[in-house]
Amino acid sequence: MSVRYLLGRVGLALLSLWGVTVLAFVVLRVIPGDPALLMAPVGASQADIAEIRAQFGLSGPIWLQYVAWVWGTVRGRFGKSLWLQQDAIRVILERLPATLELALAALVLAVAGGILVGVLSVLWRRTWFESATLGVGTLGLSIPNFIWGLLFIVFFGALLRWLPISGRIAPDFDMAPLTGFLLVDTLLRRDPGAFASVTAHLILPAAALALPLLAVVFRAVRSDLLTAVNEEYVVMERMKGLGELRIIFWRALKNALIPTTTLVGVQFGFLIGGTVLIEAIFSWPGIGQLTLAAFQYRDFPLIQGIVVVYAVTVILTNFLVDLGYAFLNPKVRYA
Amino acid sequence: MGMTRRGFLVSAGTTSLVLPWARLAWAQKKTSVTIAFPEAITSMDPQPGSRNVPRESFYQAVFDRYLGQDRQLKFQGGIVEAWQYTNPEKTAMDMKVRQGISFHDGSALTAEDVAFSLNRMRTTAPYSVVYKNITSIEMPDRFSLRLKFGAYDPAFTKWLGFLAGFVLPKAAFEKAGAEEFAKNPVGSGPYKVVRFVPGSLLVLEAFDKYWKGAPPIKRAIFKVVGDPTARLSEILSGDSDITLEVPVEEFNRLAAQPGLKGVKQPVTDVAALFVSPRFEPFQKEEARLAVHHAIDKKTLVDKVLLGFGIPLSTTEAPLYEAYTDFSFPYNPDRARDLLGKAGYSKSNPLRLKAMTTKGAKTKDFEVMTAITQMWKDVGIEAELEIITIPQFFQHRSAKTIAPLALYFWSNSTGDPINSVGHMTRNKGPFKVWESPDVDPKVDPIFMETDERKRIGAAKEAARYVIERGYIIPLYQVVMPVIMKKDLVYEPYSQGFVLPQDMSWT
Repeated sequence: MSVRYLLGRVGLALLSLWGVTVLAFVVLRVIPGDPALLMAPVGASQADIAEIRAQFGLSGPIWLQYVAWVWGTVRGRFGKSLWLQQDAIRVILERLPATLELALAALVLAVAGGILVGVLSVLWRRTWFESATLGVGTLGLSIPNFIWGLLFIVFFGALLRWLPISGRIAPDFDMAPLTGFLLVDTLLRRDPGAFASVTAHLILPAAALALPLLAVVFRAVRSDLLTAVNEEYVVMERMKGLGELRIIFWRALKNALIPTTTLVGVQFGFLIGGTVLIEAIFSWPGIGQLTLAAFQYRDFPLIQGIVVVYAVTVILTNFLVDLGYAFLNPKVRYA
Repeated sequence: MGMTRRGFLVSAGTTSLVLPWARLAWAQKKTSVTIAFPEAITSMDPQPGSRNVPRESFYQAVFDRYLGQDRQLKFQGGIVEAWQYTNPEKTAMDMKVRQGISFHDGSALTAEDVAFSLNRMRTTAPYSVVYKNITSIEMPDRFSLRLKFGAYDPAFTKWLGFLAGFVLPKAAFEKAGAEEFAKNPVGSGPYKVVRFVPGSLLVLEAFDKYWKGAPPIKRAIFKVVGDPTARLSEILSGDSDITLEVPVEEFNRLAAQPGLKGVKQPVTDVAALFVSPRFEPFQKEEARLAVHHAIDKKTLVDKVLLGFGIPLSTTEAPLYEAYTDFSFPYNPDRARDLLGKAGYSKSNPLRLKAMTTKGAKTKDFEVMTAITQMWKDVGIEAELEIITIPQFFQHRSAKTIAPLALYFWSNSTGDPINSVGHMTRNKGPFKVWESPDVDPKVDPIFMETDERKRIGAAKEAARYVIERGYIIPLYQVVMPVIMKKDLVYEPYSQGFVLPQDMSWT
């Protein structure tokens, strides 16, 4: 992999990040809803409102506010949340592990589930299982994840009463966070009860978030596998007497996974975006829920911080996927 | 190679048997209560940050207010057990701090803590707007305070029992620092914080040395459940014991479930249409009054809100100090007559825009849709524009608000300053209607030092602004509360949910 390729990618990532900050900053100031008006309690005069505006750096020309914010951001100071009156980046970073844990769990579910169902539907093609998976795949794609979330809440939470539907862990477990990733924390503390509780709390939101991506991965894997199983090298393996299971897992799947890797990288951005509604529905204390509240209060520093953190996460993921793809595919590496 | 249907079903069935074990981990006992609460807080520091009244529930469980407030909105002694103005201008006040109160860390609560809390509020946004009127605080002794104000503010004592008016422990706060205190707070309230997960969970344990006596339920859990469907499922699954703001269509079904009961609690929110003077036809009083006479509030409440509202003719809800039983009648014939006098009829309708939120409050958009139909019957053609609450503030401030705009005004202090006063005073930033006749009616609410005369003036002003068509009150909001049958709890009209007032039969 050439240094030029790497530098090009880094430059592109920084450019994207800058674009996102400009967009977030301008859009927030264009949409109606002055945060000072929202904060002002009954009894505040126009002068009081102007004072609140000045106190939180909301007065003065927009470009000057932007320069001040970017200067602060590059030094790691995102400003003070208007609503919480705490350091915005600290609030965001405290919540980030919850969102990442949810997104990663959904990603694992989607990729593992998508590959498994994709492989099985090819193995059991022309059976009822293939028809069923195709139907479920279409459903998974056509129903948004928050609808899945609501269905899961009603079905598994209220009717069957199998799984908890809000929060990350049962209130009974009093546990100070170590890493913020509760699955990891409960393992580090060797607390199987807490681990079970965290897992139970994670299942429904992660499944709801994962389903549309699972359907995408399933369809991609299935399509690529169906092409691969008719390739000459696979026919040759079959003629050598290798079993179908072995051919698919050890030969065809390897090649089919290359385009899927790119697809998953691109889709991860959507997955992170999807956490906003899923977190709200399942009362998951991550950045998504914080985003909704921040918009409700027109909390500019908090929203800007969240946008930057989201953007960095997505850009970093795409960057890693680009590198990974280049590593996997020599055609890209030397292009 | 294939998978049989039987195999698949057996696997699914086995899973269904294995999974319920996980429920055991979060089963709650009767020594605790779990509240599925619709709103989140992300800091346990009770003073900074703007908030709404129901969200105060979290803080009221952990901290004490300077003054207490009962369900009838009456203020009484809290941490401050006695208070009185010491000059005729009411710009100086003596306070007596209750003795024998301990914070959760065992330290004694004194006047120094009260002074510290008041002083912090003088510089802590956004409520510094109220508290900066305090010009000096003296401590004659360990349990006495002497306050001086820049000007008389009749609402000041109400703020002592209202938003952000909580007493903090000076020593513990200074030792921890604001950020740490916000995570691990120390109060003097009925519950101590066991665990706080911002935006998600607050686990509380009864404070045995609470000055009003330890609460009957030893452990209280606030679970933040923002989604109405999820709250409904929380209560149906038994994971939570009490919840509020469930979908009103589901209320009767939920309340009829075995083991559950429902309460329809009127709260201190008033739905009203704000009238813009910038709409030329509204310069004629007849047009404004016709708009009001054409609204059948009883039908709105019965058919659209399914009983979750109380028709209202004034800016003052029952329990407010300036409430009167004045009634503005629904009279479509009168509305047609008035429209005729203003130059409009069914063939030449009055065309206007009305702003409404959609989903910000229960059935807000549906209420406005029904009202547009009622208006159509008398010759008013209204086009609805959907806005958000921040947009309402923005349009109000920029004076770009539509001829009519729906907004829910909340005043849990019950003082007319915070209802008809700020709703209509031309000098302030919260009014929509502007005309020179309003302030002479409203100003006494802000300035009169004789309380009886002040409330009398407020009653007159509240009636005046309705009879002139400057504002159109619609209904008082009724909050749906669902709880377990064996939970004893009387909800608050302020919208609080306070575990300290709950017990199990």
